[in-house]
Amino acid sequence: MEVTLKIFRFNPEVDKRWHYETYRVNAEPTDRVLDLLEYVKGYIDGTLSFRRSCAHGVCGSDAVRINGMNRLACKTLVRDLGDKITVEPIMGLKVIKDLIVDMEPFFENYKKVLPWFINNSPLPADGKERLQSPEARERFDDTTKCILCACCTTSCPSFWGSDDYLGPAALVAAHRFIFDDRDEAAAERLQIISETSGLARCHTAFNCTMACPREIQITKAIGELKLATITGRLD
Amino acid sequence: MNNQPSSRKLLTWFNPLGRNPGAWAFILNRLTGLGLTFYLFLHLIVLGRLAQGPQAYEEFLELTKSPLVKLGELLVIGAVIYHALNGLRVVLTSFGLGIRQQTQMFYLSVLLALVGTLVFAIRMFAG
Repeated sequence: MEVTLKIFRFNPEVDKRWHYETYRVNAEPTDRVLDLLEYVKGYIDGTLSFRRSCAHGVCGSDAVRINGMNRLACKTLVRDLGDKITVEPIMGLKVIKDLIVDMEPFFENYKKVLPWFINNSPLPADGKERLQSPEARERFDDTTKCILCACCTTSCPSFWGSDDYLGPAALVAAHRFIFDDRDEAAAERLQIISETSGLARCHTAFNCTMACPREIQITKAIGELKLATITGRLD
Repeated sequence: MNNQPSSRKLLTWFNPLGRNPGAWAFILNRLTGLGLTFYLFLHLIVLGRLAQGPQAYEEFLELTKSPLVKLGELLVIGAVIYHALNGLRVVLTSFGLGIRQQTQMFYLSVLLALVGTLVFAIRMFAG
């Protein structure tokens, strides 16, 4: 099938403003959008810039806006889109070139929630590992799946409005550690996400839940965090 | 914060295409919220007429009998009911309650707002 591929282009060294380029490419219905981007870069216009790394939906590099929805280019098939496909950079972050955006503000927000394991107690007597029950592990299983692609945060209207909002991805990371019973910094993290740039900016538009390529129930996780800040309970 | 086209950003904010019911609820909540804020000012201006004496107020009230104003009032009624009910839905979903039922709650809010508006419409135009 022939696909009309419309791609957002912006070269800061030449262009004063962004524009769109249209390419006609042959594609199989089972091709991924990433395949089309690779084809354009390889055979039509080598200056097209986009991020890709593993190309298998794990590294989270190739988050782009496909027909208006945030998706991983490597996980989105042509057959689910039809023969008119528009590819644009994710919103709310500065465009560096074409489909590449400056992810730094996204990672700055991520770091604010202390997204690492904190436990300063002495190791158990055998000195090996801190055991956890399967039930306790299950409590935060959903939020361990995040690959930091930024699909959720850049689909959030609150984040479009102000990039000092922590955003869904950072809150998902906070959830992953706050509900981990081996971690000891839950209170500190709850304090951080209770500030004005945190939980209160979530208005439950469910855009994040829809955008997540890992199908994390993000709005639900944020709701659990909100409850935890009020009740102080982590069960 | 962003060098992507700003007009597109505003449109995207209110673009219902390719979104989910949760986002439609959000968009509608924003629009009705803006509308009700506008109405609040209108309302205060009308009440301000009272300061000019009963006659000025009565004269102004005559205006509200025109069908166009009545239609506007119906919009306000619909917006109030939707905004209030969806507000409750947002309170629940904010705390992780009824996340699975959020779509149904949205449709119910819209349905009740339509029914409420219809009831008022019948009373206003027939009564």
